[in-house]
Amino acid sequence: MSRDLNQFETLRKDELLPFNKLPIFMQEVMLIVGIQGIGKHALAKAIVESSTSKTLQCRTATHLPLPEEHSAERPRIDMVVFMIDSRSSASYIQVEQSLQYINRQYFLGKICFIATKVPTETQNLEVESITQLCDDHGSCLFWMDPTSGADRTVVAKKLLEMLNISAGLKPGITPLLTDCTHRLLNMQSF
Amino acid sequence: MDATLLKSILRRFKIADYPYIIENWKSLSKEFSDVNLKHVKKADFVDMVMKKFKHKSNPALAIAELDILYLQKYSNRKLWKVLTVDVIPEGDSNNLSTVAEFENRLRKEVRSYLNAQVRCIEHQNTYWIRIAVKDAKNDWALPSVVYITHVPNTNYLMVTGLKATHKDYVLQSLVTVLNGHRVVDSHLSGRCLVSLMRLVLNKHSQGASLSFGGSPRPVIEETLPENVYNENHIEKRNRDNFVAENYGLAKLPRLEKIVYKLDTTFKGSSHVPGMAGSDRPFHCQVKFEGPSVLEGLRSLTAAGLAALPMKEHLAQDRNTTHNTDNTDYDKSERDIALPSGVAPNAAFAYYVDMFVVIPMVWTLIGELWQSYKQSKTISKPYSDIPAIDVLDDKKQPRRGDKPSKLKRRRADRRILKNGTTKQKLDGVDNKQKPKSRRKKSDTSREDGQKSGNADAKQTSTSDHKDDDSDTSKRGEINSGSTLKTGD
Repeated sequence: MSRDLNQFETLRKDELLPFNKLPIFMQEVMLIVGIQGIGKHALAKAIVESSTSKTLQCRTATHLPLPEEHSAERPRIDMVVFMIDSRSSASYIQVEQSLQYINRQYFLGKICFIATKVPTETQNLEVESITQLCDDHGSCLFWMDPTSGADRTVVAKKLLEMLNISAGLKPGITPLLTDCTHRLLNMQSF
Repeated sequence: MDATLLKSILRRFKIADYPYIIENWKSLSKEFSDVNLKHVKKADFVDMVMKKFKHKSNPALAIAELDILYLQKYSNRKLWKVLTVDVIPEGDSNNLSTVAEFENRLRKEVRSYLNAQVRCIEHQNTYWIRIAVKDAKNDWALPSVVYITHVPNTNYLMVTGLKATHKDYVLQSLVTVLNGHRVVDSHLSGRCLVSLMRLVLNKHSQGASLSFGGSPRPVIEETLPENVYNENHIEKRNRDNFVAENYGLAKLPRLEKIVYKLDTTFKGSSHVPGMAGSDRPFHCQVKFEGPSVLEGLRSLTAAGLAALPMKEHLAQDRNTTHNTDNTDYDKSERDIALPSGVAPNAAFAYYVDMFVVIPMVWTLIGELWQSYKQSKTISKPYSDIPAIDVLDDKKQPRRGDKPSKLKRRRADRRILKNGTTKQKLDGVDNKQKPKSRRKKSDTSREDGQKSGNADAKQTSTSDHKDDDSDTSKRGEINSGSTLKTGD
């Protein structure tokens, strides 16, 4: 039955796929998607700094699908991080639209959301709508203040752990396994 | 009278501004040389100035100077309007090289029309002109003062506080002094005087050299480590180039408002069927408001929230030197799709889709109108005027008011009339029926008796039915009263 389903599965041309390219030895690649000015590059720098591996690569994009230029040179992407700015609903809409261009196999533990911590006066999005989005896609959510360095490093270390697993560098653990354990700590279940 | 005027001007200043006054007030600066301003109170300062002012020979000039000083300090508190003087190209130049000459000439011109005081001061290559006109109470009050700034050797005037009563005279005298033949409104207004000047005087600078006389802003280049890679770097570079080309490198002048006016055909007739056949142009207006709208448009583009290329009327705004854009009726069909200038991503604040918003607004207005009409008709049983006239007639009582004695009397009289007519009609044949209006009310009386409140509900359906329903209501009242009279 499952084979039949796979047979009829149609792929979009511009869909992001986890297994369409051969992996490079010991390389882990993370893609951060978020609106311009949200602090993607600061987070990427924090991740690169807190990592010991030299083959780690962080890629940033404002939206999906990724541009077609240099698509042949682009390595296999092991994990996708979506950043939502709580101040602007535009960032939420952009993330929602970008999620359509992601293959379903990414949702087995290779995806993660980050929402920015802002004062409540400037908050434009409801917290519930963000948590609902994460629960709908069965993935975890981190809250981060992009301006504070301490917050960035903590989140960067967590992301690195997830990236190691999803890139297959930790023997015996798969992203699906960690995802199943996360499921117990679902936001809505509290 | 001078004393009260001086006091009112002095009280406008803050305590922190007193050194500024002493430095720049030329008429009294010599007498202020020995004043200690430490811990001085506002009232004390005003008293001190008043004492020194008593011995002054020409107080009006000194007051005018002080007023201009206040204007220079707080020019942002006024709304300035830019006017352009059409200069005669082959006419003789007036050779007004100094401020004094300009002031004398202007005083002569203005005084030929009005009883006015004219004072002109040069400050930072700009003439600051104050024209105080004597008002109806024979008083030099501040509300009737016109302030004008003018950069010499240009044909632009920034005007504030211009009243309709002496507008023509002031402008006419300015035109003659500047050797022009008429004054044209530039459709540019704002609170920041410097920005308006920058916009107007650097009208023709284009492209990357566009600076509006300001210094270029520092360029911050982000350096990324080797392992971090931006996927959209080509897109970002294109956008930066577009921003640099269209908005220049300097900080943009401050404008508080940009208005687009458009006369188009009404496209929401599915929501408001009453508007379907009308050929009248439909007036639309889109406003962008904020502390600095031009800078906002620029940063919107730089942040990637506006889709590129932007529409001409949005991108070329800073060169038109217009605050208010009127668009022609013919152009509207093809050119003025304002929404396509801004990306759908920016929907939260800047996406203004006229052809979606306007039908919505119209349905809302329609609903409000209907509900208003309904409330009017139901709450006013005594009114015999249709609901549409109620809006126009200001003498009509409000919802909560009791009907006036006169109205009550009229209504009672009508009831009596109808009562008598009914008694007559009962005995008379159909041939001798009264005029059509009475007939209408009679027929509706029967309906009213049958259907009761159902008629009152019909009032909200359409305008044409209003008359009938009103008469039917009248019928209800009358029928009730006839029974009483009969008893």
